Amino acid sequence: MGLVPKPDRHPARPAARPVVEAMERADSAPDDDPRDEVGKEKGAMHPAYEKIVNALRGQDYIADTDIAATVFLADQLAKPILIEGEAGVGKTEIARVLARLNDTELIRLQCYEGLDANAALYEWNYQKQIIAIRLHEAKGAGALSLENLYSQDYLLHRPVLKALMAEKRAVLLLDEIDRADEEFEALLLETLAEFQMSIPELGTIKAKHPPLIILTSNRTRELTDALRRRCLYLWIAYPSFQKELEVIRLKVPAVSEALAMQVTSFVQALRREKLNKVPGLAEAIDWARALQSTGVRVLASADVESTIGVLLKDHQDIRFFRKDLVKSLMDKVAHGHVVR
Amino acid sequence: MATSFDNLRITTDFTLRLCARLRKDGVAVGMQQSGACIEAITLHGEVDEDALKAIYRITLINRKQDLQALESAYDQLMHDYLAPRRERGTRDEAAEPEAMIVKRRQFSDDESQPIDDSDVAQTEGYSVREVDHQKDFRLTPEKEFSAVLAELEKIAKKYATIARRKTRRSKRRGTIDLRASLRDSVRHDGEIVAWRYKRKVPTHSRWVVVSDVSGSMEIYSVFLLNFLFVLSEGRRFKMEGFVFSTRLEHLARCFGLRDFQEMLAGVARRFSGWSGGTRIGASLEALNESYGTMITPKTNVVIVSDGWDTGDIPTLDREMARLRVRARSITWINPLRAAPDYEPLALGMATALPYCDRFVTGHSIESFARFAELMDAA
Repeated sequence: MGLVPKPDRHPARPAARPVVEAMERADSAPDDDPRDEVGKEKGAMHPAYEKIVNALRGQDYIADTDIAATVFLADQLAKPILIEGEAGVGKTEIARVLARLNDTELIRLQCYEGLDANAALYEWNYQKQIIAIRLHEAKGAGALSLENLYSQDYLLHRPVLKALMAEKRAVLLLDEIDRADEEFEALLLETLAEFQMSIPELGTIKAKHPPLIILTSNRTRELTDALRRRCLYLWIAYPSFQKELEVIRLKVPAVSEALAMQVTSFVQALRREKLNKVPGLAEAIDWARALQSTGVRVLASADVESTIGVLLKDHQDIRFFRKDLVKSLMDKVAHGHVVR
Repeated sequence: MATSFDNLRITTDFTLRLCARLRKDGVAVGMQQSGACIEAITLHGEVDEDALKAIYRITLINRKQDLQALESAYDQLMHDYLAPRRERGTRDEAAEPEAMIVKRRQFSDDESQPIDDSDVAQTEGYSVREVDHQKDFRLTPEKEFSAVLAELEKIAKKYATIARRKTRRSKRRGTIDLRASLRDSVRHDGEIVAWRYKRKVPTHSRWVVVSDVSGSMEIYSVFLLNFLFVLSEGRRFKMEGFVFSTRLEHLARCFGLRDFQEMLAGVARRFSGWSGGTRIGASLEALNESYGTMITPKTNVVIVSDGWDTGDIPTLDREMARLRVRARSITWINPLRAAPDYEPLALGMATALPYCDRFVTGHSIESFARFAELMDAA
């Protein structure tokens, strides 16, 4: 409903509704009258988003408006997505889920320092070329033309080219692009903007089905503007209480309601502390799984201390946690303290 | 009232302003970003605030550090957009003193500050329109007044300077009237002895503008008077101006003056009823009694008022009837009419309406343009 301020409504923005409520509303939407005014005004998302959220939920992924909007726009505007966020908030998972959702191949390229075009884009199959030359000589047939040697037959498809050549719209995940060198970003620019790749010996290969390109970054280094400009930007923050609870219940269905609540509030409270490495959503899920599998029904200090290695991955953090944090955090959880 | 096209236009305008503001804050928002953003919004057709914010986050910025800047720029801009509307609740307190101060600052010279057009200047890049033509003047922030006036001047000038095709015989001025010259030459066996000349006839229509400057109407009247002042410059319209609230004041020779705003400020200082209550009937009575000669069968009378009369209704009825007999036409401009569900329920308005030939709104630049068209046709 655009920006036209509605004359008889108070301009103050409606208070943000808890995600859970919004989700429940989304679930029960088919039963309600779709023209229900209140629902339309407040909780409901854009119908396109709702579809995406529901689809992602079907793949065990809880998406909020931002994620849904990004997926929607990436599809419609045909732009790559650049996802940044702290470790373990589900950046890579989006690519995985989207590939599953579209029932296509997930082509993954884990970036690392020193990654080059040969490993990421394409490579000529020298061995095969040499063998071809030798065979040709042995047969005694006439000269082998260069065009024959530099053809599709001798081209090794590395992930990026593979995604471009795919018969179906593929999902290309360039994971942790910040680990690769800055020069490597430049190699990607053509593909990101045009969905094509120029190979000097062969010509330009244009994607038949532009792949959905997803780049993730942990911000260990600042990415260049040229790369950023070509992408839709999605920042995934640590999840809210509701979202985290939702995810834990979805990912670890066996966990009891009470434990899920406790785990969530504990992790939420823990993130507020000064830690070297803050646990992400992935750690929280692992922890819930660990607690559940050890048969814990209700969170107790002893259980926390014995399983804390799942949550905290830093020696200093664990020492600090054992010394100072356990009690205060447990108190918070016991008092039903919910960090929003 | 707002169609989805309007929505899109406003949202686009908002987005571009947001981009400009972000650039000012040091966030690099390129054409690629703003383009993608507009495209995304167009794609959605209708978006609510959450979705719109999400689109901005996704398309406009591309680093986490800028999230904060975006958030604050959005809030500020949204505040600016909604701020005038917030005051809406207080509109019924007719004589709110703020309104008076607002106007005087704007139009008096002794306390005047340099015209603040920083708002216009800071809009970098492309903007659909610097001034919204449909925006109610009441909702226009003070900063934009000068821009609105400039826009009004542009429109008024268009109508003020239209040349008529009608010509009249002239002794020496104007162009040669070939047709008449030839006709004359017949008398001299086809020898043209003397050229005949013709010149354009400065046709004009007569207008008497009676403008309500009581608290509830002040802002509209000031804009309208400014508008009419520019219109009258081209001599197509002969105008006489009056302002009234509880009594009538003749803006003597005002439309011939060089600096209209200065004159208006002078009147505002002298005229005690400015921003006060309204007595339409008594004011019209004064018009009929004291300035009766101004109103001839060629005169078009324009009354600008919202019809909220605190005075005597039978007087209003009688005076409207008198005016009706004497004037060529009566046009009533009521800014409230802009509301889709407006009905002339105010007693003053209900009484006066049967005597009016035209009942139009005058709340925005666009409505003024339409009014100018009406005047043009008269």
